[in-house]
This record gives sequence, structure tokens and C-alpha cells, in this order.
Amino acid sequence: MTKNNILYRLFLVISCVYLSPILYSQQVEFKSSEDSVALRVSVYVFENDKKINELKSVNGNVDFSTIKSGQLVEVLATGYEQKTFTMPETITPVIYLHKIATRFDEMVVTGQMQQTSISDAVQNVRIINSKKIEQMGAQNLTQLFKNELNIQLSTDAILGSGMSLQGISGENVKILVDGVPIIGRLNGTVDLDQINIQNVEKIEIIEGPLSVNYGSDALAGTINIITKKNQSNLLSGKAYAYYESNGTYNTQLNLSTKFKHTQISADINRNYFDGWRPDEKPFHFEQVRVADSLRNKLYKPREQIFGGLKARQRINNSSHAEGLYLTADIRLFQEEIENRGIPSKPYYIKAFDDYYNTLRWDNSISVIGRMTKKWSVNSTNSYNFFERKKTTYVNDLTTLEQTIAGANEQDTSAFDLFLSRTSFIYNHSKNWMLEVGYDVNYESSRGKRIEHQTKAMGDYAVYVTSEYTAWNKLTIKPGLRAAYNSVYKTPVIPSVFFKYKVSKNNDIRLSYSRGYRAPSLKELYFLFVDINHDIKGNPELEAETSNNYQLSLRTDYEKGKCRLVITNQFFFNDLANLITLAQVTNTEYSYVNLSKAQTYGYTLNTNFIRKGLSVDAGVSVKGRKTQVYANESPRATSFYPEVKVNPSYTIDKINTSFAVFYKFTGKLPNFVMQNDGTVFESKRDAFHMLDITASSFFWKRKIGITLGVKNLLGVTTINGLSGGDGAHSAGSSSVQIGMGRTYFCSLTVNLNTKK
Amino acid sequence: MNGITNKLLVFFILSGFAVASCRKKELPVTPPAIGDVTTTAIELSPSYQKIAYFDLGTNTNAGEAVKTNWDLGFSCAGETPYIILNAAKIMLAAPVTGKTFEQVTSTSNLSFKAEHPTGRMDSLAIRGGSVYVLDRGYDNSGTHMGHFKMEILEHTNLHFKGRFAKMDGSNEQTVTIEKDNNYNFVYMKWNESGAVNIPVIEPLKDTWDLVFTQYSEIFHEPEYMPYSVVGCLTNTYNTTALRVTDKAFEDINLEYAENLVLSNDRDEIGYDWKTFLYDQNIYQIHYEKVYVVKDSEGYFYKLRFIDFYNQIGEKGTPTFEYQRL
Repeated sequence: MTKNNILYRLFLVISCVYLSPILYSQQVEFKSSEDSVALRVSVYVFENDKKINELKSVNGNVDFSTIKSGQLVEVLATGYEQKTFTMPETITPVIYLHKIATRFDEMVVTGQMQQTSISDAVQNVRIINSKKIEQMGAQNLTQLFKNELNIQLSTDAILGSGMSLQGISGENVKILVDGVPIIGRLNGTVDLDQINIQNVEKIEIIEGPLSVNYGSDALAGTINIITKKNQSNLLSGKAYAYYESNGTYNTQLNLSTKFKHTQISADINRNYFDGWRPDEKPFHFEQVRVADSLRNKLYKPREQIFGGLKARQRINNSSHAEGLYLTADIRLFQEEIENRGIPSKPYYIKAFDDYYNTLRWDNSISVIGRMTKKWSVNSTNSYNFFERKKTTYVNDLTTLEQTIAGANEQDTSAFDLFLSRTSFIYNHSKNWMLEVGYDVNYESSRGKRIEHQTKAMGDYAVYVTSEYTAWNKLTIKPGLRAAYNSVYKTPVIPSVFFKYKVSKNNDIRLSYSRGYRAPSLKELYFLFVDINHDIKGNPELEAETSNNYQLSLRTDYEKGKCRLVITNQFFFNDLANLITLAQVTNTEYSYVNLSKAQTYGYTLNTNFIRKGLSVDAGVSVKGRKTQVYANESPRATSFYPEVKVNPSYTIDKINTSFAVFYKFTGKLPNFVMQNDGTVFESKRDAFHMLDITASSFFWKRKIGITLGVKNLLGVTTINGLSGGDGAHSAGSSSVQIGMGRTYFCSLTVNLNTKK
Repeated sequence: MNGITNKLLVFFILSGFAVASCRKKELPVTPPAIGDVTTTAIELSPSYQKIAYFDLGTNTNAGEAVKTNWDLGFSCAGETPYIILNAAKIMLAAPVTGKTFEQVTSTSNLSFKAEHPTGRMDSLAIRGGSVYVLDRGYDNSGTHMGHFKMEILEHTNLHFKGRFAKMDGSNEQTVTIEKDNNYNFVYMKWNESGAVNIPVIEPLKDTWDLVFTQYSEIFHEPEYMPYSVVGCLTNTYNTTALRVTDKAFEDINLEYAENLVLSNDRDEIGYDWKTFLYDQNIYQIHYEKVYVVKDSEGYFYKLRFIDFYNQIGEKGTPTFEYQRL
């Protein structure tokens, strides 16, 4: 047990001891029962059928001290069910209201000038809310994305999990946390296993480029993780514990309160996974054992510790409902992956043990909101640091003495990024808005195989977008970005979005946008030369670019208590200048702007809600054409399908909900370009992922329990060829998909107390 | 539900987790009983800079050299004297036809060949012709070492006489190299801007049996490609070897060994007693590959490899165990 561990546990225990007393309070807080967001409510007090008082909430709180017991209280909040009750002797400090299924539109912020409802946004935005995260028992982005259409996941024992979106690899997907990009792209992709989603309000996914706003990497799409913003005046918190039968033990604690005008929240998490081998049964508990070949795990044991501290304050006192907020956020992440090596033949008394330590340090200050009646600002400034260290030891298994291995076996990669992105939004009228902004990124990279060990690049961009609505029906949003980059020539990036409101229930969206991905510092400055290798980065590289076209039709039927939303979406991506490692002379390999590709597809998403029943279902088909060399004819892949069905049913009376998460991924054809320039065709078999869960809340929603089965069909490996990325690799014949069927349970304790 | 219960519940859950969620320690394994064998490690350095000569009978290093210290070797015995390339740095040679020594000034339109791993005379890269362009291969950092040209003027068992020059004709020199029959080869090193060196590389030919070095293996798929490997070659003077596939190490005895027909190819042991596992980034030893070696004194040995790493996990240390029969 490390020192960090002990401190962490001590912190949890001490905080619990100080937290609990629930004192009698006249302040009542109103929250959404779906996602615990504080609500703006009106409270009417009646005596003998006569309204005698009217109270408004301040930051979700209402002072009940003037209400006498026996009086009738009626609580109203927009989008929520009305609540009527007789005032009791003592009242609980928190009252939850249920969302009305119909007439409720979720709000989005990503790529928007201001918070906009999902039906008004010019882009087609997909939202994954905290309710789904809780119901799925998802612990990180990888697990959450198992149930999403158009997202393919891949696993590497050491590099973690990557993704592709719309058939485009993860290098081209921008992942943001409250607008701040996540860095640390090893081999181009961010490890999704490192992205915690326990304190998340929702995740917004926009397919297609948002490069005008977010610059490089936002080519295939943008994923913005919106963390919870607690409004509560009370000291509130949540303790969470999660166990999964593959050996996952996660704990989390978060606390939040308000000091004067500043909302402070802190959270700390520890995620522990004890590793997995295919021969392990569910509920396998690790034992102290002899260091034989079973010491090596297919999925490596991993410990993650997350900590965060956030302060948020309203900095103007204007009467506007949306104020101007200053937010400061510090997040730390530490991970250790331990890879106990296979004892080497012939005597099995020696093994290489690798430790992979990742450190992330993300700091940001943002100012977001309305400054004056006409002007708003959205400013994000951040410094991110990422370091990954590989340490290798030679372990003498007869004594378990570890000797640090030679310098060649050790490796450290580090990245950092300074970002300042600010846009000013001018609200001329309800129908016309203008956004002007700048985006400055200065990143550096350090690593063993980077030329001169360290390299930096600066990117300085300005962008402008405008949104105009004519006849309350047609909205048009053009945008343009121009940039100077210290290393490569940046393209000018245009985009234009149209939205036409055909009728009250039908919208058409059409868009063209251009996206790009900057050559990574590795592709520019990689250096690996020895007697058998000569791989060099290419400082002359240009950005990868894409033209993306999308058409979507959204229909929103409502009848009685039913609501059905159907979205039909067509996309086409035309990618050029793809950076490929290729043989440039007889002996030399380098990165070149070489390949072209096209991806195209259709997605149908439906969402049906009736009382407690909600069904998300969808189908998508995608294809890809790749042309590696200019003189060859494109290689087309056949279309491959995905199907998703996600019903859930909530029984309000017993505060219990049941959910099923099913996704079918069809046979996935692919062409893999190997480092030696040859292309080979790979195919991965179809598979089904099915999770079933039940969640229930007890004691006035103080305690929540979720039980479930993940990967019910027990998928582990499937047939398929996957190309390696070494110059020598051949394909392997099976692809690891999961750890088979697992069972999980999670426990949430909501803590609320008066200060 | 009151505060105390709340508190206790959280506390118990967390304590339970604290116990279960720690990496478990391991117990040491029992060291295996290693039989009556001699174990020897030969350090070539992680970038394989050394050439190491080894004598089985005395279990000693018979000599060592730096691999970049020579370019060509001239055989001292045999009916037809011949020339070998330094395969440790993947040297190549191309015969020049239709042009004289003076006329050849570029490497284009030449067909380069690497040294064949078996060391058989009929497979040599320099064979038959008299004018050659030589590709010096790569130094320890992977930098290409350039080209030079050679004309064989006279070549007998007693001496070699030849002309060397840079490709542009500069630094031309005519060199006579005297041979010594106590050695398999005498060696020379081309010098870009000065006189040719005649370094001593190999120990006396009857003092060693095995040499551990890099050399070039030739692959023909997808195309002709010399590839640098690290392995063990036998002394072609008087040492022979054979990989045994039908008997386990423990069961090999003198009677069995004496009835084998051993190979004269210098790469009979070769490099494939190990495989690089890309997914684990590690060399795996093929312990089951067993070799019988007959040394220059006429003794038989059985031999197998057990490691390729040194104490601090650096590659380039072939480690083997062997036993005299």
C-alpha cells in the first residue's frame, strides 16, 4: 500500500465523521431527482384554499421558516412535476422533483454561443446524461461508450483504450473537460480509461468537425465532458463505492459548499483494478502466491487516484438570469499500471516487471457568462501537464529482489499545453448573434525518440462565427478560422450550418464543415535510427484535412404522455493528406501526407418516452474507402452495421429503475497500413454487448444501490485480424474485446447537512 | 436513517474496500536444480558492438574485437583464397562489369549483395570478379558509413595485393597484405582519408570454437533483404556443430553424438535460439533447441541457450550452458 493510499483513506474517514449531523433546518433545497441539479422553484402557500404567501428560490434554496405546519404547500418548477404537500412539523432539507418526461429539452453548450436547447442548436448534438452513467455503472469513458453508435473502441494492454468516431481514428477526436482539451496522446490517442466520469453532469458528443471553435483534432468530432456545478448553499456531498467481479474496487467522495458567494467543491477518487487473466473466474480474489507464470495478467492491474478542487463565483450582480461566472479548477490524476512479466524460459526465475506511471495535472480558469445586456464572454485559460514514465526492473524471482534495468528499458514521455481561448458574443437581437474569438495553444513534447528530446509548437488562431435566424424558421451559422502555426502551415477553416424548422415538430439540419488535424510532434520529429531501423519524423508535414457534410432530420412527436424523437442523420467525410508512415527511400521510413479516405454513413436514433418508460434505440451503417497511394484505385469496404437498444423503466413509487444496454457491432472490415508500406485487409467478427442493471434509492434518496451484469453474453475474444504497428508485425488472429461476464454493485450515499 | 448509521455504513464499506483493494505481495519461487553443466555469459553490449571469440575446452574468452574495426577479411588457407565482408555491420559488395576501376564513380546501376550467413565459399559476395564497389554498412549509431572501391590485383595464400579508392577516385592506394597461416583471416579497414589499417581481429585459429557477433541473415520475402541478426557462429577451421531435434538435452551422450553428421556451415547454431516477442517487447529463449558441437580438439559438447540479457536486463548477452560428453 503506498503512502498516497493511506492518506487518501484517512481523508475519507475523517470527512465522514465530520459530515453527518443533520440539524434541523428551515432552508429547503430543491433538486432534480434525475441528476441532482439544484432547481429554480416557486413555492405557493395556501391556508383554507387561499393563497397566503409566495416564495422564490435563491440558488435552489427556499426559506421555509415562515410556513406553519398544516398549511398546504405547492412547489412549481419549469419542466418538473408539481409537488403538493401539507407542511409537516419538521421538513427535510432536500426535496427532489421529478422531471416531466415530455416538454423537456436538454441544454447544450459545446460549440454554441450560449446555452441552447438541443432542439434549437444548429448542430446535431448527442447527450449522455448522468442518469445513464449511473444506470450503466460506467466507471470511465471506455465503459460508457460501449453503448454508443458510431463509436468503435479498441484496447491495448499498455496504452489503454482508444476510440474511433464515424470510422475515423481517435487522433481526430477532440476530448474536452468543460472546454479544456485533454492532452497526453500516446501514439495519437488519449487513454479513455483515464477519464473519470463520476462527477459528470453530462457528456455532449458532436459528430463532424468543430474545428472553427476548437482547432486541431476536432475533425471527426468533439466530446465535451461537462462536470457537475453544484448550486447548493448547504454542505453536501456524495460517497460512492463500486465493486465489479473482475476485481474492480472504486471509491469516491465529493463535497461541496458555499462560502459567501463562492461555491467550492472538492472530490477525491481511488480506482483499483487487480488485473485479469482469461482463466480467472468472476469473484476471483487475489491471494498472496508464488511468483509463477500466473503473475502476468492480460489486463494489467491498475490504480488510479483522482483529486479535484473547483471554485466558482458569480462576478457581476446584473439582473440577468445568466450571470457572469468565474471558475477556477485544479485536477490531479495519478495512475500506476503494474505489468508483472512472464517468468522467462527456461528456469522461470527471472522476469521483467514494468511500471507505467501517469501523472496529469490540469488547471484552468474560465470566465463564462453575460457581461452586459448585449455582450457575453466565454474565456477558458488552462495549463495541462501530462507525464508518463515507464520503469522496468529485472526481478529475481527466487529472492523477489528487483534491480532497475538498463537505461534503454526506461522511457518517459511528457507533454504540456498552455491554452487561452476567449470569445466575445454580441447578441444583437434574438435573431442575430456574432462571436469573435481567439485561440492560442502552445504545446511541448518530450520523449526518448523525439529529435533533440524536446520540441514545441505554438498555434495562434482567430475565429468568427455568426448565427442568424430568418422568419423564425431558418437559422444559418457560418464560421471561419485562420491561424498561424510555428511549425506547419495551417489551413483556413470554414464551416456553415443550416437549420430549417419545417413545422413545429420537424427540423432539417444541413452542414458543411472543414476539419483538420495538426501533425503531431511525434510525426514531425520522431527519430529512431539503428542498424535495422531508420524512421525519422518529417518537419515538412502539412495538416490532415477533411470536408464533412451532414444532413439530419429530427422529428419530435408528442401525444398525451408520450414523446417520440426520431433523428435521421447522413454523413460524408472526405479526408485528404492523411499522415502515413511510409518507405521514402530504400532504407528510410518517414511520415508523409499520403493517403486519402472517405467515410460515409447513416444513423437512425429514436427516443421514446412514456411515463417511466424510456427507450433509446438506433441503427447505423458506415463504410470507408481508402486510397493509400495516389496511383491506386480506392479500396472500398463493405458497409458495416451497428444496432443499439437501450430501454429503461422507472417505477417512481419504489424509486427503482431497470435498464438494458444492448449494442450489436457488425463485422468490421478494415485495411491496415503496415509500417513497411504494405496494406493488408483485416476483418473483425461481429459481437453483441449486453448489460442489464437495476438501481434503487432508499431513505429519501440518501442511499442508492445499483446492481447489474455487464457483458452478459460473456464476450472475451473474437476472431479478427489486427495489424500491429511495428515494422515487423504480422496480424494476430483474435481481438480482445472484454473480460467476459462480470457482476457489479455500487452504493451511493448522498450527504446533505446544514453548515 | 440517522447520522450515525450513515457514518457507520460509509465507514464499513470503505474499510472492506481497503482490505480487498491492494496489490498482493508474491512469494519467491524455489531455485531450480541445475545439473552438471557449465554456464557462460558473453557480453556483446546492448548495441552489439563487440565480437567475442570463445573456447569450449578451456571455457575462456579467446579474444574480442570491436565490430566496426574491419571491413574485409582475406582467407589465409584453402585451395582458393577468398575475401569476406564484415557482415556485422551489413556490408554489401557489387561486382563492376564493363567498367574499369577508374571508370566506376557511382553506386548506381550496381547490384549489391550481402555476405551469406553460412560462410560457404560458393555463396560469397566477392567472388570471381576483380573490381568491386563496397558498401561499408552502418556504424554503432546506425549511420551509414559510405562506399569505397577495390580492384584485386593479385591474390594468393601468401598475400593479397589490391587497389582501393573513394568513389570519386581520391585517396587511392595500392596495398599488399601479407598472410599468416596461423589465422583463418587477416583483416583490413578502409580509411576515408588515410592509409588502410591492418587490425588484428581474430585470435589464432586453433584457440577458439565459437564467435558471438552480429551478422547478416538474408530474407527473400517480399524481396532480397539482408537483415542484421545476433548469434553464434562456429570456427570453420576445425569446429563443427549440429542442431539436434530428436533427443532431449539430458539424453544426449557421447555415443549418440559420435554418430551424428555435423555441419561445416558456420551458422549451424545461428541466431534463432531466440525470438523477439513484439507484444511483450522481449526476447524469448528457445531452450528446447539443443546443439552438439565438436571442438577443434575433437571433444563433443552439448549446448543450449538460457538467456540473452545481462544482470540489469540489457540485451546482448547470450548466455548458454554446455557439458562435455
